[in-house]
Order: sequence, then C-alpha cells, then structure tokens
Amino acid sequence: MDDAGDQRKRLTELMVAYQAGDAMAFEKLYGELAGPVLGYLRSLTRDAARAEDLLQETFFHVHRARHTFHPERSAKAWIFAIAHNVFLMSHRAASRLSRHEGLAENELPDVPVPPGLEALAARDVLTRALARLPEKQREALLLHHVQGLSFQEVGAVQGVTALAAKLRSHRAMIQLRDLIRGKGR
Amino acid sequence: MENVLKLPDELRRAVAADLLPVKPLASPPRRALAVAVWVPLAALLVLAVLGLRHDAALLGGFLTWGTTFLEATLGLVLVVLALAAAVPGGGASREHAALALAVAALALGNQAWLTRAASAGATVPNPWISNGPVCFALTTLLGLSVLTIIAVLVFRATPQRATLACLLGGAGAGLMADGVYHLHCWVTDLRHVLLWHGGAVIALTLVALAAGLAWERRESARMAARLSR
Repeated sequence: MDDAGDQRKRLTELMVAYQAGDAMAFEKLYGELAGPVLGYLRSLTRDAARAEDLLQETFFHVHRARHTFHPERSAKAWIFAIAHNVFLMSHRAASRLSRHEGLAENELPDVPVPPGLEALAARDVLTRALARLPEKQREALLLHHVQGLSFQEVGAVQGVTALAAKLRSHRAMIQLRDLIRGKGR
Repeated sequence: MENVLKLPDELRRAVAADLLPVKPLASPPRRALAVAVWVPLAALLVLAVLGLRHDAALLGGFLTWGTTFLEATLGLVLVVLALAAAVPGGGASREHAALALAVAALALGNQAWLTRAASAGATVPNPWISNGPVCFALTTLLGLSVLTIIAVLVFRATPQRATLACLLGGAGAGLMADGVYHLHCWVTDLRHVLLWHGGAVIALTLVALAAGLAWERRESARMAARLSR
C-alpha cells in the first residue's frame, strides 16, 4: 500500500476509535491533521491569526459531527469538508463582528506552495501568484497538489463533482504558470 | 507554529466533557427508508379520508398509481441527496442537486400534462381559483408531516450545508406530498395543477429553505460569539 493509502487507513482507524470514545485517538487525529488543515485554512483566509482561530473551530465541529463520519469515506476529505464549511460560516460570523476578510497582497501569510512549482519561481513570487488566483480554483489546486486529496475528495470538500474539481485545479495551474511567466498581469 | 499545532486546552476539555461513544449515521439511502414508509401511510390516509379520484378508471393504473409512485420516488431521491448534503463531504454536489431539482420540476409538469391529456377531470367554474386553496392547504399539510421527519434526519447530522440540504429536503417533501395527493385530486386543468399543486411544492421548499437559513444564522452567531472571546 502507498503512503496515501496507509494514511487513509490510519486516519479511518483513528476516527473509528474516536467515535468509540477514545480520547487519545482524537489527540492523534489532531496531531496528524492540524498542520495540513491549518495550511489549508491559511490559504483560504490569507490571515494567519484567523486561520488559527478557525483551526480550533474546525476541530470543535469535528467533535460535534463525529457521528456523521462513515468508515467507508475518507476521513481526511471529511475533516477538510468541515474546515471548508467552517471557513464559509466564518464569513457570516465575521460580518457580525465587523471584521474584514483577508489581507492585502503584501501582507500574505506563508501559504503552502505546490511542491512541483517551487522550481519555477521564488517562493514569494509563487505565493503572490497563488493569491491572485480565483478562490475556488486556488482551493482545488492546493487541496490536490499540497494536501494530496484525490479529485473525488476535493469535489466532496468543495461540494462539486470530481470533474468540476479537476477542472478548477487544472485551470488554476494554467493561470498560475501564466502569472509566473508574466502573462497574467 | 509548534504551539499552534498543540491541542488547545479548551478543545481538549470540550472533547473530554463529551466523549460518549457515538454510532455512525447510516448511509443516506438507508436513512431515507424512514421517509419512504411515510408514502404508503399517507396514501392510505388520503384514500380513507378523501377517497380515490373519480377519474381513476379513465386514467388507468399507470396515470393514477404509477405517477404517484414515480413522483414519490423522485421525491425520495431528493431526500437522499438532502441527507447526503447534510453530512460533511457527503458527496452531494451542487451540480447533482441542480439536476435533480430540474428533473423533479419536469416530472411535475409532465405528470400534469399526461394526466390532463388522458382525462378532462372535474369541470370547475374558475380553474385559477376553484378548489385551489383546499388542494394547496391539504398538499402543504401532508408535506409538512413528511418534512418534519426529513428535518429531524437532516438536523441530526449537524448539517454543514444546511441551506442546500433543506432546499433539497423541502422539494422532496413537496414532490412526495403532491404525488400522494394526486390520488385524490381530480381537477386536471393545468392552471389548477401548476398554480396550486406546484405552489404547494414551492411553499414547502421555501419553508425548508427558511429553516436551513435559520440554522446557518444560528451556527454563525454561535461561532461569532466563540471567536470574539
């Protein structure tokens, strides 16, 4: 079994143990997924502090909704889907708090960069180019290329079909290359 | 970064305070079986209290019972999608939902047209109004009873996409209720069917949508309160 398959099996086992009432399983799950989920939330919020708030909020929701996880589904996609929805809810919550979303381009936090692209340009150039992509496309690209989710799983997170998720990621990649080469200015 | 990735005490305490074992929810089709049981029960009630439509012999088995079955089945498909949308990463995409709603609307129109073509039904003085409010009220009432079951199933999943789930659930309830009420209403004029029966389906969809929006607003307000601490 490959790494992704191993991780999927391990996360499913942890989720099943957590559903059975094992607190340690929750801690291990948090330990394994907090980093990737935080990276994902940073790419969505473009605000490091807010991403940290939403990370905790995501795991609160994971706890409340733990009975909705089914062992036949991907635990990673399930948790990322919760993070995605927590982010969407935070838009409404932010409007209640009169907080403004996002930061200016020159204040971007360190968002994850797809590993295959690091050779194309300096990291800050890539980060800025990523920030200029349409939100849904950037999200699909990062979920697939950085978080290692399949397009089926990306679709489940974004609430679209696998094909639509693949198209979003593909378009994002083309636009990103154009931006790096200076065509997309 | 390491500090951020350490399990926060507040979260650890919240989890420890409520760590009872939970049973995973069954798959959406299995949960929708509870809704499927409603169809024969509601049909029996309508037939016992209101009676079978007068033109049933003229319509034949398919246009009387078959269309009821098809409409109820389509409604159930929408309910399955609603239950899938309620679960995080449940696989119900917006594209599937839009397609299912479009098919449901087409089915409703097609059923009305086929029925009208087969039977002139009862002649009413003014097809825009006559019998309409009664049909609307009874279809909506029937729909509300099944919508209650659907709402319990959707909200038990602490829905992440409550608006979409409720929209689909409301449309499903409307379609199922109209399918059952079709066994009784013998006014086949398209104006009556589309305005009052279609209107009941839309009303149920809107009621469910409002419930979904209210849930999302409440969740957002709670999140705002937690984030502002």
